[in-house]
Amino acid sequence: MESGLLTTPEFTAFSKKVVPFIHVTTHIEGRANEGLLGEKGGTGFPTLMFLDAEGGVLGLPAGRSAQAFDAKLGSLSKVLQKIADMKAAIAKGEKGLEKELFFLELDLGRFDLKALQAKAKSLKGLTDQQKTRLAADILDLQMKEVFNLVRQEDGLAMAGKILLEIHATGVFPTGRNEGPFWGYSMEYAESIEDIAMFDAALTEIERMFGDNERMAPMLAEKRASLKKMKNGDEPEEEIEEEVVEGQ
Amino acid sequence: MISLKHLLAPALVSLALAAPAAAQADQGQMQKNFDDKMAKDFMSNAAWITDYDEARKIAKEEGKLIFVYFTRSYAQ
Repeated sequence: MESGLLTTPEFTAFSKKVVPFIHVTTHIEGRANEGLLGEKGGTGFPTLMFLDAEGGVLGLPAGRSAQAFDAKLGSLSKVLQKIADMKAAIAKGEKGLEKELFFLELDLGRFDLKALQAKAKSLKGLTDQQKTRLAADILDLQMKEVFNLVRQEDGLAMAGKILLEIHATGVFPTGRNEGPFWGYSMEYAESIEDIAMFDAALTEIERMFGDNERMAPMLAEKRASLKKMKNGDEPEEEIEEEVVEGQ
Repeated sequence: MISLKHLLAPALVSLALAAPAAAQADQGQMQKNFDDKMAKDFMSNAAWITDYDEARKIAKEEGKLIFVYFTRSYAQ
């Protein structure tokens, strides 16, 4: 990319329509914002992304060409203008736009977990499709929060609250979040000795990875730990030797 | 043996990005790598902003979106 696309006149022309920001992960001590990629949900290099002026993630281009960048910029600009127009109309007293506005902003990932959970409780008259969409977005944000928290010291304990929330709904992540969800659930459950959750999580991990020979030792170790937890840790009885005098 | 860590791969990638092994890295080499990156030809092909705060400030002032290119210099 650095010796190709980013050196083209097409990219130069595109770059004038945006604020082109290069973020370099350097491993230089004391450098600010080294973890920015992870904070924005990126997982590899290179990553290209559109942000708003507050740094909120708006989306990624569909391809790696100046044309794809222009197309994404165009579609984002349209949505942002529509949102601005709707907010102006609502401010003037126009009714019936709140739900449409909400879902437009949801498309842009404008809500953090707490805000989205609050909105989910307050929004009325949602269709089944909208409710399903909302639940899926909340689950996504919950898992993002879990990934953020486990990076911190004692993070698993903090992430545990969210894991328990997810378990309470009975609706679990699928796709690429499925393994990490059950993995963290298993670790957390083992740490707090929640036998039921440990058992359920281990069962799911075994379902997903039980055929993988390289996973077998880890799974056996966890199964043994669970068994020990179920049986309880009974202290061994001390047997005092009888001292017989005169012998 | 595959450890539990393999299940947690997305998080591990984030960990690797967010917690660089700076203590083990040769800081002089890291600085040189970064300087070399900044001296590449592509940097003069656009008005690249290198500071996150400045990017947000300009975006607010000019009413533009930020297009961010995430890259690295610690590995050549």
